[in-house]
Amino acid sequence: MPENTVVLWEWALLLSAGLGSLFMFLAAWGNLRVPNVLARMHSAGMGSTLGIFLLLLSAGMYFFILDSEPDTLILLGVLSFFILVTSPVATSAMARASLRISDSRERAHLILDEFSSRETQEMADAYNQTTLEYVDRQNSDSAKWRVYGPDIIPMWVADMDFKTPKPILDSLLARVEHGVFGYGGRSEELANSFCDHLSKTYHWEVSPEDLIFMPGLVSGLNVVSAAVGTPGTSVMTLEPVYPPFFSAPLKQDRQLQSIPLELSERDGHLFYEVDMQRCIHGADASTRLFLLCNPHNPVGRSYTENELMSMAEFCLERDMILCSDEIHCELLLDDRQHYPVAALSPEIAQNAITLMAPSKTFNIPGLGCSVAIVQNPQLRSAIQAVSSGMIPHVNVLGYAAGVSAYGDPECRAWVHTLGQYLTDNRDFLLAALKRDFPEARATRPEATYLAWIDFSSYVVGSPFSFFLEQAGVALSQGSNYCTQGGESFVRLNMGTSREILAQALERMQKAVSASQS
Amino acid sequence: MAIESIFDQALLVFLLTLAVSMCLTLLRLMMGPTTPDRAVSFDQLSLQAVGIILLVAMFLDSSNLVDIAIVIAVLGFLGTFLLAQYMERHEQ
Repeated sequence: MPENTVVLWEWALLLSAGLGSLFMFLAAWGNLRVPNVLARMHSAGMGSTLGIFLLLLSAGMYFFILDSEPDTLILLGVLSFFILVTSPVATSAMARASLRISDSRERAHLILDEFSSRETQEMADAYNQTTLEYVDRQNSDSAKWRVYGPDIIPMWVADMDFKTPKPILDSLLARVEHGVFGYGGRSEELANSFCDHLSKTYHWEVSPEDLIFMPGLVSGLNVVSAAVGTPGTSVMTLEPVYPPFFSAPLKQDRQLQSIPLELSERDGHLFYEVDMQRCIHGADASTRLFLLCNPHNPVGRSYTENELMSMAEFCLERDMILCSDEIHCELLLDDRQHYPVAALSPEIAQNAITLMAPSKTFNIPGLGCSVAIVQNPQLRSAIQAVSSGMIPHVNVLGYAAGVSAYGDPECRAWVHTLGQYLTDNRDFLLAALKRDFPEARATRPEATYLAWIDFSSYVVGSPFSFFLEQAGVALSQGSNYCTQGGESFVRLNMGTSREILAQALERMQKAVSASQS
Repeated sequence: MAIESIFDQALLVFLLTLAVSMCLTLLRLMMGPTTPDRAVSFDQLSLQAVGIILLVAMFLDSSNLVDIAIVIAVLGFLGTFLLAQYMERHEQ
């Protein structure tokens, strides 16, 4: 062969091998980056197949043309044919298997689901059709709408203006129809369906005996503060945080060690994270309890596994009990995942108390039903000893609502729809802030419907009073969430219709421009 | 011609690319989170291994390595297929 032709072949070979390696790399990158298994399969399957054929082509050129080894070419042909036949077979076998074992929520992403039974098809439809219903609550018994009077748009107390999902309403109606409201007993039905929910959602195996039902989260915080340590011992928490995290320990004669979260800016938004060094320096021998809020009210963080692990290990090392308030755990934005801290390891589970509730998720806080998950039997009896006689049982309607909330698949669909609506609300809010209050600094919530905003560039003094008086918008005062500082912050509850949110933001913008002119 | 030295160096770069790809896929294999994710990554790993063997075969000018590539491809396919079958039976 002439020298020039050889060089040409070598370049062609390198080109083919290079492209092949590039596609193999892109396929691996895609498999790592894309969000779910069917999408990963697409990336891994398509990219790798193209990549391997380009590499086979280059090997073919090498051995046949440059090396003149026709025997090897036959082997390469066999290999190509084998991959050509088996690769689609393997991919479709995997796709079918993963589709069969996936749950209905994942299947709802599919446009066409050939393997669905009628039930899963109905489930997928339910996911696509569930809608939120905004309810006008003026003149209702709502604390949120009542406290500041009729002309104020309330965006303070953390409940939403959406009607609770239909299965919950139906079971409440059925319970009311029953007509007798005698003393209720602990609902084993709720305990079982809640444990199922934990196992399905978080792969966290909890037995029904580990659950203690309580009428509310704040009672839970108080009971836990009283059950862990003795008067005079200390409780650590991370601020800014929901005010009962300060008041519950103080009411139970505990010392408060409130550690500020580390504040930074990420992509133009406020970002709070735990500074473990500060926690280590802040703790002493008297610290017995660590109160964690995850997702964190009001800063909207949904902590990562790593962050949770370092806090949990810190508690284990210091022999502190970790109490994690996870009441907002199903209000996840951007399809994020929640990690219950106690599910990280059996050792952590024995050292942790987890507080959860259907109240925030399904907008039923008025029914007073929440649950403490305590897998350590000694802790459990300490909590039961403190609450007996002080804390009432959950009422029968709360139990009835809870059973549907965790047992009815339609409620799962509702949570999914709610998450999407709240994500859109968050994006709407951030866009409006960027447009109308470019100097305001706000968090970008990863979970919850609560935004935490610093208005110091626009309002002198307390933005809470300013917006209440000048704009007719009731927010939550930032200083309540901090042991010191926080005056320039407000917490904004965006769990309402986008129209109301837009109206409130417009009023706030007008009030600010009126005060500046 | 400079092509001789470029040739070997380019093959080394491609080998490195595939090695990095394998690491990425291994990461997904470890992270999961579900069994299907791991099956997909396993399948991808076997293809990457075949790719690496082909590059090494060219680099060392050793056509015997192609036999090994065939063995890896066969084992990879069987592994993936059986894993898929297992997942389907196991979950029902």
